[in-house]
Amino acid sequence: MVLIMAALCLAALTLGGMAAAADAQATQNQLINSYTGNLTEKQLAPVDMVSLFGRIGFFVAEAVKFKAPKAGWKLNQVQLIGWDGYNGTAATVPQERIIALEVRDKNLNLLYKFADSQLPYSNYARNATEMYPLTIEIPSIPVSDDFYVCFYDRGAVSIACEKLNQTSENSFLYIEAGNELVPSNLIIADNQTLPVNWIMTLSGN
Amino acid sequence: MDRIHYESLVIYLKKTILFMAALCCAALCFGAVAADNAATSGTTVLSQDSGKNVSLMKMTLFRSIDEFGIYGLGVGEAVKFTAPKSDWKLKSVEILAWSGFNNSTQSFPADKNFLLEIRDKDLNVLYKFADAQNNYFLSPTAPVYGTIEIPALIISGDFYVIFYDRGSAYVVMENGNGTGNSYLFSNGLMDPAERIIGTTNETVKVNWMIKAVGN
Repeated sequence: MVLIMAALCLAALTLGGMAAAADAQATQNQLINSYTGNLTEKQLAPVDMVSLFGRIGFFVAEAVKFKAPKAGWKLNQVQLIGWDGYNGTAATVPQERIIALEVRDKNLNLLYKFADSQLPYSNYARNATEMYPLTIEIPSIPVSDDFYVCFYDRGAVSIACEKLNQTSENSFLYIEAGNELVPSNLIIADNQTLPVNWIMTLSGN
Repeated sequence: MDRIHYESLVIYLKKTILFMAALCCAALCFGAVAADNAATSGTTVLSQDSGKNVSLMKMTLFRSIDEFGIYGLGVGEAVKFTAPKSDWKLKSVEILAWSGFNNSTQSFPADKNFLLEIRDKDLNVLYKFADAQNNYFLSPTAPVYGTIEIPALIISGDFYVIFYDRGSAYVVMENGNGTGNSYLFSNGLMDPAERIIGTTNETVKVNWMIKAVGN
């Protein structure tokens, strides 16, 4: 009797373990990048919208179009690379400002919106003096087909981008007032434009 | 019951009355433009002000911390709406307010948070969102209808939009002609938004200039 009980317990534990392993596998997060290649080999530049556009920059977001790997894919984390201006000196300790993040469907309908201080996320809080991963965890948002992640830096954080030779197919500027996307071609000197790609990585399952 | 006391508003108004006239006039223009846009896009815009032509409204700027001090941080300007149909989708809230941008120095105030809540008829929270005021009410000339977009929220029956200004922005209120749908919300209680007129000691209801937009 004791042996049978022990065998049953062992079997139950084994089955339980297998089920847990299967669950873990099923919920294992999948990463989607806005870029191709190795980040360490890229030359990244920090850009913020308020520096580019002045007061209007408050209402302009760095936006990236992604495609959900499957219908109902659940987005649960967004990671950018940012710099809040802190370079290790007391004079550059950042003031608290508010950043915002939006998730929109392919028709730009709002699915999720979040705003918070930049400080818990940016490099200063990590005693880093250069661009640093800026990670925002969000409640699982089911997305299907194409969708957009829009980040409003509002001048609080500069966001890393890579320079391109031609207009990006998945990076945009999102204009809040007109619910409109425009190409992420930044205006530089002499009326020239610089196409860029926002560096963003999503995590979901 | 907390009331908006006329006297404190008068002190503020004396300093700003000329400025206010220009502000309100410009705000009305902004408001008219916003309403027109909504109408053409097939959405429904709900408002609970007097419905008078805005150019004829008497309007005053209000901040809860000016009225209630530190306790004002927990006081929200609330408006009760009724969804025009069951399963109506609330998609945005428009609030006529001003963050205090100084056009002469081109400086804007430091970021401060406001809080928006949507509550059902029993005051259960349906949606909650905090953000900084400059991103919605940063007008160089006047109060502006700041649009706070929200993920589509399905609503039936009565519901409340509550804006906690937290001292971050001046909310515009219509003095008098109260429709009885504007409140001050604090500690789970809805108190009618009223003010006392100093000269007559008369209590009049006010309307917050807050709209609910959906379809």
